[in-house]
Amino acid sequence: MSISQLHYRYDRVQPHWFTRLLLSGGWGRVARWVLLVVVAAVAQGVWANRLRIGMATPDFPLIVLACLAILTNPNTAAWAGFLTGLLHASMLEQTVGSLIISRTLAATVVAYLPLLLSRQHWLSVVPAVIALTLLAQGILYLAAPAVAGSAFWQGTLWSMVYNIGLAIPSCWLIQRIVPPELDEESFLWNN
Amino acid sequence: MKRRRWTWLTLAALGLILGVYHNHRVRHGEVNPLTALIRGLILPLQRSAYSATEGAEQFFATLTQAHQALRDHENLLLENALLKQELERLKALETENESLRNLLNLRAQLPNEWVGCRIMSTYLQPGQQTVIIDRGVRDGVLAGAPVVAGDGLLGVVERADKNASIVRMLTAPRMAVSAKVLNAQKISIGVCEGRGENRLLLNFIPPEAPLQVGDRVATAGLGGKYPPNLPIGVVEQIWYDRQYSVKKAWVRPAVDFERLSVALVKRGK
Repeated sequence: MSISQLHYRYDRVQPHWFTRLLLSGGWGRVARWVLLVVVAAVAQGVWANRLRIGMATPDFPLIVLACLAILTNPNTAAWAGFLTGLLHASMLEQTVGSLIISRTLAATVVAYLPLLLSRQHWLSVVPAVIALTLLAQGILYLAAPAVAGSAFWQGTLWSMVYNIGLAIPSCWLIQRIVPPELDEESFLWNN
Repeated sequence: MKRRRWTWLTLAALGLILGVYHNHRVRHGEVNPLTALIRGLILPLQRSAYSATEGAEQFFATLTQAHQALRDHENLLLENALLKQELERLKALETENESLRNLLNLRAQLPNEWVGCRIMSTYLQPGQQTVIIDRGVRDGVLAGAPVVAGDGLLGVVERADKNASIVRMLTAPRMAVSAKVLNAQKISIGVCEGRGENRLLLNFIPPEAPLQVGDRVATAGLGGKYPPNLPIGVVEQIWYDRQYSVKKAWVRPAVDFERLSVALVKRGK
């Protein structure tokens, strides 16, 4: 049988793209990071204010997003950023587009940090948290400028300091749920 | 394979579309079904987490503050007795008021209905300043209802779902309320504006108005959105704006936004 005839037979029996998507595997991993993002969104409303220290409040969605960005690949980080922004915006019922776009873009950029840092190192999450916080809030500020810019950035910087304190134990915990990808798998475009 | 490179771009474009759609719905006074659905999923989880946290806090408070609680209990009993006497006196006054109104052929004022609520979620980051309460349309709460907490005006209901409502705090950006400054010499009218930070800007005070640090600020009740005489805060700093020829002041809010647990929301028509 010629090659063209083999191709013809293959295309005829190839399953629907949706079937192929369902059977592609890796849904367990997807469910885990989705669960982490949802838990962070719930925790932000209930516990963030209770854990306030002076002017600093934690930002659980950004911490989780930074850990996911550095442990997975840019595609997963983009989706996680999208979901994080969407959940946060839904609870606030304001700046919906700005929150989604800022988190998506920031998470995608931070997901490329493992090109410079080793994701296996326990300190690598700290620059990820710093970069993600500044990028996400910076894009949010550009898209939806706050009336009082100084108060916005003051709150952001204090929140970033708090997030740095929680970053390492959070990353340790998240690694148990979403194990880090191997470096050679993360940036292959056929992954 | 090339499509995977542009996942972030596709998602960002989708976010932009969702944002435009949301603004379109809000501008027409309609609910965004997507965000309402997500809130319907997240809020029960937050409610459970809040209940669990409250239970744990009360358990530890019982252990550590029992002695203080007993003392507070005695003080509250005494205060309760005094308040009961005051209530009886006010009831008598109300009866007299009603009979006088009947005499003057006035329509009886509809009583304002305030219902207690718990604050389930708090978002205090600058520019957000939002809380979520556990009263919604099912309890008679509508969008635009004022919310008070302890010492003063907390904010207004922005979106009322079935069992919960989103309350925009007075300190949130683009929030404004007509206010009056309770100065001993003269009462002045202005506007208290939220700016996304922990203080309010008192604006449009006439330059000749006698304004002093420490003056109390309350709602003026103009426009009918907020009831009059609800405490807003205390004047902290005053200056004169030459550009607009008005006096302005920073106002420290009466409500302690960091310690919110319960509030009152007005049930409206």
